[in-house]
Amino acid sequence: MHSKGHEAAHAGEHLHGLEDMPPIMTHEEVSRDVIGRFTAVSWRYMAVMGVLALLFAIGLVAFVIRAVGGFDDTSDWGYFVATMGFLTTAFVSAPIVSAGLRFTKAHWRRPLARLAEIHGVTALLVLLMVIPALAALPDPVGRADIWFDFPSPDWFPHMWTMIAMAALALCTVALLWMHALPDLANARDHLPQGKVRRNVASFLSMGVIGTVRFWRVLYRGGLLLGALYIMMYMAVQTILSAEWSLGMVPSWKDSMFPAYQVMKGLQAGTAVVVVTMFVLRTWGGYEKYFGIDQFWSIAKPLLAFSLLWFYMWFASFITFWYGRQPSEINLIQMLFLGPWAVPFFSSMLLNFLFPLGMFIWNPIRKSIVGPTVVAAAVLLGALIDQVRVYVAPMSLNNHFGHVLAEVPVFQWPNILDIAIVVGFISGAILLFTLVAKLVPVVSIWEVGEGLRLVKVRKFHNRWVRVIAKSH
Amino acid sequence: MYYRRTVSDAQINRELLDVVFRTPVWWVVIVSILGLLVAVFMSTFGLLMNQGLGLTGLNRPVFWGFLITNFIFWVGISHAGVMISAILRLSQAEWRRPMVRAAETMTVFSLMTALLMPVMHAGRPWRIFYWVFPYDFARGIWPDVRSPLVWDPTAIITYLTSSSLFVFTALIPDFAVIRDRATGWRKAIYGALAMNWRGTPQQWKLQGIAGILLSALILPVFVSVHSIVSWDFGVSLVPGWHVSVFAPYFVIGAVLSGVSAVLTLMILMRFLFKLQNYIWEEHIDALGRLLIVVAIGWHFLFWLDIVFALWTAESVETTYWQLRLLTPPWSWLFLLFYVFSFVIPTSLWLFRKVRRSFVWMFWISILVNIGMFLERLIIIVPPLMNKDAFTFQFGTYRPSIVELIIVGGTFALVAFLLLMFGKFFPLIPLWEEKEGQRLVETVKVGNVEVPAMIKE
Repeated sequence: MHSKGHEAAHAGEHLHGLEDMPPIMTHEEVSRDVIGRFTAVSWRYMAVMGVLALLFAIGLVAFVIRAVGGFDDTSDWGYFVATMGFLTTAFVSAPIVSAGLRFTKAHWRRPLARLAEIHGVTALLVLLMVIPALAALPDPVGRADIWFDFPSPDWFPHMWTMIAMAALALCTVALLWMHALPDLANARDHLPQGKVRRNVASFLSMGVIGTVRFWRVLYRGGLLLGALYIMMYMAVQTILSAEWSLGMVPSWKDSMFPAYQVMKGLQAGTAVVVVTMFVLRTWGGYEKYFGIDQFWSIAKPLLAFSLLWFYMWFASFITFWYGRQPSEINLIQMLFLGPWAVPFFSSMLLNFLFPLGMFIWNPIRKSIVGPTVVAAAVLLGALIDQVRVYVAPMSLNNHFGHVLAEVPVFQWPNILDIAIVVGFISGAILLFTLVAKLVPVVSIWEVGEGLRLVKVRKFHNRWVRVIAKSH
Repeated sequence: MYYRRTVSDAQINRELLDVVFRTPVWWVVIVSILGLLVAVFMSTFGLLMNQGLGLTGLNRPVFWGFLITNFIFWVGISHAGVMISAILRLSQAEWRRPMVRAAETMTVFSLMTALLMPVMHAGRPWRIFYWVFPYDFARGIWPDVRSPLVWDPTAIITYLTSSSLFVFTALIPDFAVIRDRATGWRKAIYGALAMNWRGTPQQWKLQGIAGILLSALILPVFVSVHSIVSWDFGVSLVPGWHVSVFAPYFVIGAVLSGVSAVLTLMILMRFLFKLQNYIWEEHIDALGRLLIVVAIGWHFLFWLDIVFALWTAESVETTYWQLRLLTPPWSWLFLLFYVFSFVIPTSLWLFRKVRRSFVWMFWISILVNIGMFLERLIIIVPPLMNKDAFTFQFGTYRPSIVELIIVGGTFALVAFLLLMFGKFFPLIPLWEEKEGQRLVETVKVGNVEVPAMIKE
């Protein structure tokens, strides 16, 4: 594939460096390839969709059964809330990866930015989950509340939480749609007339023809929307942490906890991107776009987030450990050392020790399988961690009072809980696979732009990439 | 970020070593003035040792004041070095090159200055030796290793050692350049410092590995230093201090203040050392963008601190926050701190024109550090001003003239040390600049030649 616009091909010299480089294609080749895969609906795709839809349906049935049982007992809703927390932490945070890498102008982000943004659409599912989760909350009077006495209508005391979640969902859809506009226009112009997909692309592209003004708005607007999304995500994680975790436990005052959850989101969001890249590369035929460059580069922030996550946990823990006030001793028992020690230590192993032990070795970082295995472990750890931080507070008998008087026993999931957890996670993946057929999963225009900015040239005794700084 | 200007190796050597081989008049004048101020500072230190802590404004119950505030401030400034050097080196940010040496050097001098503060605050510093080396083993007096007050000097001395090593390792190729151009005793000294550097491929390889290893190993120390400083407060039970978010809040605040100080330093260096060919608008623009991100992250943690302090509506916390937010002079100081360190800088940094203006960036960076000094003062003093049980009056604290001279003197000390360093060693690494020049390229995109960088 080392062909057009490639000085190395003309030189015919045998120097080092070419073997490490990703294949260089033309914009047209990328466009044809991605649009082709985007329109193809294979039996494998349909089978996966079928399984996911079935699991999601089972999850919905379990949810309905639970809802029929009522919302009075908060402990019934612990795993539902933990699933909501996991989806927010892992999937909804993924667009931060693309927004953050756009800010830093990381060249390797181009193929993966879109899939990260598609994952953000899970916010729509989370928005729906928030409604029953709010209904499961006990009366805010007599408990600590993130909104303090901020006025909200009597008939809708949690209005601001809903507004915050809706704003985040709107923002993530806007982020995806805005950055997909050029590719939607591309699909509109290249798909055959009469196809449903073409009509959808035509509708969503809103007549974009790629004027200079359009590109300027896209670049600036994309950055601004990305910044807004990051800040809104931080706010939403704070609200979720306060409503369903901190606010459920008397005397749990932990200003670190929302920041801990945001860091968890950055870690798990990055992990979701890695696992998705692996799946698309292995079974989707996108190996030309998700190469060593992407896996190697993203392993570094994943390691950094793992270390920072541990640091944030430790900073919080040491404050309680040294404080040793009666409520803090009970908090330590509830969160780390008592009946919830197994989930806690599992999460510590999967989210910190394992990534650290693996990623300190460059050959593991510089591989496809290494980062994928670590990312999968991180996701499993994140799920366990969200169970710990949401199910334990939700399973308390008394959410009111001045001190945490009892340590809740570990609550094993029953069959309904398992169906809900598996079903709603499947729902999030289903949403991704559906949206991936509405919007190309690889950003054609960004990859194409990258191709124009990269040249391969001779530098002393090897070939190197020269990357132009377009902005 | 990219290099737009081409500078030859000879020009780099000539311009960056100019002050090393020639002593400008401005340098003599400024160093003399600063030397005088340092002398006043040292005399005041002596007076404080001689007369005791009664010369300060400290009283019961406010036992920690300006000196500890200044300690935290200078430890915070020291965070610039690793942020700029290690993190930007690991992330291969090209724009780091002209600022790494100055940032690392400032780290070393800030830490040395910071260490003086607890020594002064101890009142009788010679007793520190008893504490470190128990003079009578039979008494069984040992440092309590469970206390953050013991972790503090350990972390800071580790950071100081590793930062000094970091500066020295990066200086070796430059020592060799000076050695090859110097004569007499200078040649001998720089020759010894250069440790037989000949610039062989093997030496460059080892130098590169050392730089990357030190960058990676210094990062945990960097994070731990200000975290431990924060735990001096956080692990106590004092309302307003017993806060779990303090560690990252202190660290990111330190980065905000330290990187702003680097900005101040870079602009002063450009002006004084005539480094216009090396420090450009692009560099301060990049620092400005980095500072926006840091400031927003810091602001998130700042709000978490406030929101979760008031979260449980405990009277001890609300009383303390009322004092901090609503009672003069603390309310005024709080407002000044917030406006200086966040509102004004972040709003202005959003504008590209401001980020590329040396004058604007200089004054904004000064504002940030005034704000950050006030922040540390507000964190330390109001929580100690407990309400008296019978009079229901808060305790008071007002810094004495001795404390003001000492705090002012530390600024003169750091500036003095930096100028002395800049006289004998290049403040911008010669080899980093030369390497950067070799990585400059252009790529033709459409009809335009676009600046580009080589990425291996």
